Amino acid sequence: MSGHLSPVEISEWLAGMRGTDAERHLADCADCGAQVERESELLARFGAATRAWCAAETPAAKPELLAPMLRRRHRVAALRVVLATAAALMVAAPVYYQQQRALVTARQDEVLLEQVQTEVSRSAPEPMQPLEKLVAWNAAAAVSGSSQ
Amino acid sequence: METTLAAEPVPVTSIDAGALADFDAVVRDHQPAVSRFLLASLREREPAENLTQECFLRAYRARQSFRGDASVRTWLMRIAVNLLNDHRKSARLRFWRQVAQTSLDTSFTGDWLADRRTSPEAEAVARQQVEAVWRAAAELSERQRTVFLLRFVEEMGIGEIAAATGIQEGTVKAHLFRAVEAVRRKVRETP
Repeated sequence: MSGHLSPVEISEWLAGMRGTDAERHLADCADCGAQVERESELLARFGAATRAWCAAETPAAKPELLAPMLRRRHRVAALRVVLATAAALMVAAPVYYQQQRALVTARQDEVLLEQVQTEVSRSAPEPMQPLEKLVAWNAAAAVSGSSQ
Repeated sequence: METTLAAEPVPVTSIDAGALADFDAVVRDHQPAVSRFLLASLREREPAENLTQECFLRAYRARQSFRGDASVRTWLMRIAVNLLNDHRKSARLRFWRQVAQTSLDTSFTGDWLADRRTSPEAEAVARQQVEAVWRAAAELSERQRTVFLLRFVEEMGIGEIAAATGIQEGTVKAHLFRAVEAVRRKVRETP
């Protein structure tokens, strides 16, 4: 490699894309080595500063408090689901039973109607039906007697 | 030219699904990193705290489905990145836009610079440079900034970042390269 590392090569190196040519050059070239070290140090300082700022910004963030709080939130969420389900059941149950009752009534009505229909379609009430047969038999006998 | 990835800055611990059995320990070990990443990305305490809680709540609910294909940290970061993306879509992100236009309160930097720099002049220069990096980060695209923060604040390797963000390693490298280029340009422009 002739000359020094290009700005692109230095950016690649800092971004973690490290070629063997660049590595060899950095081992030999004090100028490039110093520049890369300076810039690496700046990025490291940026990281440290950001971590320090975050730590300063969140002094109240205590991991030992977060876990119980998460469990509480999880329980509250689960309780909400249970309550919502119960509320839905409370609303749905009367409607369901009302529908069921209506269905049973409708079925009973149908049976009753069928019974009425059966009764109405008969020419004589059920207890009198043997007599009806008797009348029918006598009439037949009368017809056959008169013809003889 | 043969190109290799830099070594992972932070080793990924090999874990299995049983690692989530003690969820208190998971929170204790990873809450600082998740919280830090979200706060560094959002630069607003309240939404960052809310998203941190949400991240662990989702992880807690989904802990049975964790198979240990990635490390717990990567898995949690993936949830955090998804939450962050959803949050961005809700258009509540203002800080990074503001920071590009207004000055930053960097008074917090005193502590971490004190043991590195001896002279006040050197400290002032370092502070200016870090401010320049912050400003440059504010102007990056959302995805470039996420990758940049995961790399240089959370010190994650390329593979880990790819797993956490759900994007290809090649794309992570491309975003990281562009981010570094932009940041270096901004720092060079700093008087």
